[in-house]
Amino acid sequence: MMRELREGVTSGEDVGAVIEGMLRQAHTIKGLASLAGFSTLNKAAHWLETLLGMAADGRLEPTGDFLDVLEGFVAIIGDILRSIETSGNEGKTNLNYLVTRATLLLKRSRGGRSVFSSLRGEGPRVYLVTVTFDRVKDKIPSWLFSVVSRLQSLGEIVELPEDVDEIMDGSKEPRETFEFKVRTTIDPVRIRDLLLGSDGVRNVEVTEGEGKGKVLLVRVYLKEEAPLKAARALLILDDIKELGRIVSVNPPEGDIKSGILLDGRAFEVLVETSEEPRKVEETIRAHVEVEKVEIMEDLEPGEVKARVERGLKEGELQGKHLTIAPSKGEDSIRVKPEALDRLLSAIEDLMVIRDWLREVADSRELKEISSKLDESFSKLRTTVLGMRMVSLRETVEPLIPAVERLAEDLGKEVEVVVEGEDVKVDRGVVGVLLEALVHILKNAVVHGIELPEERIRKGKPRRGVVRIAISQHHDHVEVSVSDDGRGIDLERIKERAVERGLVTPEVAERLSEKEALNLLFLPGMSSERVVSENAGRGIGLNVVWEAVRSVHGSITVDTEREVGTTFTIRVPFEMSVLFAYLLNVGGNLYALPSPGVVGEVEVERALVRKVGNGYLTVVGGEVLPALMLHDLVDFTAFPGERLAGVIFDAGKARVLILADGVEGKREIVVRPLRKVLPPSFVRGGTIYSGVALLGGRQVVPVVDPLKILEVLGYGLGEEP
Amino acid sequence: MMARVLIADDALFARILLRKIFTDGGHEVIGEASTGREAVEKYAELRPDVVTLDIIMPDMDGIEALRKIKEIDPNARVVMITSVDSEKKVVECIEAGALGYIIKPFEPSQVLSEINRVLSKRSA
Repeated sequence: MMRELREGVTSGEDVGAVIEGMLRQAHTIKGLASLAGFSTLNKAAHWLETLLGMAADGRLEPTGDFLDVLEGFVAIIGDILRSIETSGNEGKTNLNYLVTRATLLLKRSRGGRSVFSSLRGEGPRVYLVTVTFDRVKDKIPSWLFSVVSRLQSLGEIVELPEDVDEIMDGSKEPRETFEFKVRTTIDPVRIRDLLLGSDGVRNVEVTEGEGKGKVLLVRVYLKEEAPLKAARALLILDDIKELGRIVSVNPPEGDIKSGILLDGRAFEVLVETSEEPRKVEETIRAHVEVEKVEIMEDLEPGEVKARVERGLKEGELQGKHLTIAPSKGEDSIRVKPEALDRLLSAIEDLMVIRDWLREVADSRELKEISSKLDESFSKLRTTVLGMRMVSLRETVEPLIPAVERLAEDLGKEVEVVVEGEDVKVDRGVVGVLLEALVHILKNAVVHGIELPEERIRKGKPRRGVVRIAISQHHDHVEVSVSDDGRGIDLERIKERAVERGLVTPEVAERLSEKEALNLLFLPGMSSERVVSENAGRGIGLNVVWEAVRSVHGSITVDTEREVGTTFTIRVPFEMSVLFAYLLNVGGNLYALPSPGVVGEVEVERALVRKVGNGYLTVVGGEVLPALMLHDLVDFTAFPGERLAGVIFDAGKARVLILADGVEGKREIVVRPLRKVLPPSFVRGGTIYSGVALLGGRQVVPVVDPLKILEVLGYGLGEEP
Repeated sequence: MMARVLIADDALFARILLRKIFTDGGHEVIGEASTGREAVEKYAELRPDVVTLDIIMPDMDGIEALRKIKEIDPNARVVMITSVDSEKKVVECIEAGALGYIIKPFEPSQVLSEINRVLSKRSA
């Protein structure tokens, strides 16, 4: 089959079928290997399956390199199988080299970026790392891939020595010193430590910047008559970003996007780069609308600082953050929403730093500083969160005329009423609530409330009523939307779910009313058959469900045929901070949010039995389903003899989530950076909900337990 | 350098004009589309070196087509076609991954220099 694949790719044919065929075989081999206990064979087949899977999804192109690696795995699997046939065991095959190459492939594929890039606002830093090995030529190739693997785990390798592949496979004679360029947020000392710990490494030098970078002040003037100057400025900025690290832009990028430029046609950039000024000018002048480019090099550090500060001041005077409007005699100031978001972000950063200090405070004085910081920080946090509070009623009321108009357009008569106390909620949460309410209100008017004639026939008042009720509880706010329309047809819901392939007919049969209603929140359940204009974000109640969950809220629905439907959303008042368990898999940490976790466990690997797609084990006399986090985040990590993990209560059942170890429970701040998450080995999506910063130094992916359960088949409407 | 170009614009006149500009400039026009949906389909089929997308088109507008094309190929070189009063839209497109833009009415030298600039960018 491998030959077919190669021929197919070179002749440009559609190799989809071949890839699918190979995928099936790889999967079968993997299964058999796992049953029979051949771990190397399992690993090789698993890699093969992953690579083929990514090619099938289109996330990896079948290039020459890819085919080589694929062939490598196929060959090794052949070797192992032969060895098993003759001697009954796997023999000594080493996968390391292939695994490193495969990992490099994955990194260069779409979406294969490391966890660590672009977390800080200004971007991660580039370091020049020089590694010197001991003088043992025949060991250097394997030492080299050890170092390359470690570098990959730190961040993005921007530049590798050209002959790395040749040296690793032995076709070129190795030297002792190698230079790499790495982009990472890890600090240089840690990089050095990590590499010094690798076999055979005699010395490591880590220097900042691309080696010989300097700071340039670049001023660009666009032609007076050029239209769309802001757009052009952005494109030029993007080009500059590719040449080096931007220290600051004047006016700030956000302002440029709104159309603000110096003198209406210019902007300044401070950039750290190792490119020649001439190259920078050339790149900028490739844009025809540029009239003039001024570049100053070798600014004194003081000069740099002064310019950055001046830029900030000018930004302030232009009303970047505040516009003071005292005219109405009010004692408040208007603040731009983005400033509030920045404040919250800064508070979150500060929280991480506070925790970091607490951790490392080992002298009495430091401990005192740490506790004073705690106090001040709490006050600051309360104030900032207070500033972010918004009146829920005031946010909801403007929706009313729009909803009533929609009803009119549909020929229906609807009155929307808002009841209840006014409650103040964090603007982040309000945003989500608003999105949810709009969806639900639209549904109520479009699907819930009947046409006037129909209502009269049913003995209802001509005008339908949609009631929005707000109530405050001790730790959350409840908003419910009730309509007196036709109610939800449970049978139709079940039918639709079966139609869309979300549940099997047998399961649908056995669902209780509550469970059937929850089907509404599954992705793909929308009643629209045609993709509408707002389709970009996905349609249907699934969006609402995800949004509400993202602020740690919940949503339920209640209905009675011909009487009406009520949706109830519960959200916390503020974007609260999360506690999470740190799980260790294969030496790497993953954070699992604690809501839902009811306890920690330790089990012997031998007592965890594989059954079908999942595992079962006995804990405290109870048989519980279990899943191994290894399968989802790092299948190259093989579970040891003792496993540790947490018991997660998924509503319908309790599930064990197992890892190599549980390293405690911490407060974390989650940053939902979907684009920079590591590829999780799961088709059709990711199991991560973001990343968290620990102690200011370590970055840890945050795993979403409900997503994991979904992936392993413990969906919203299904039974485990 | 000679490039394979895909032109997407709902106005026949614009397509004819652009075709002439590109061909005179030494490039090869390998396809045309008059709606966003057609543009995405043709992109997937022909895989041009660069595609010019009108911001406003029936049956899927430029920015939506841009997003879909980027899904198919994150390294796609997309140049938006715009009129003078759509700056906000253009900025939106740039943020969504467009590498450049050209303005109607077309000025051959500006069109060609923007296309050449975009072609010389190494893949994202």
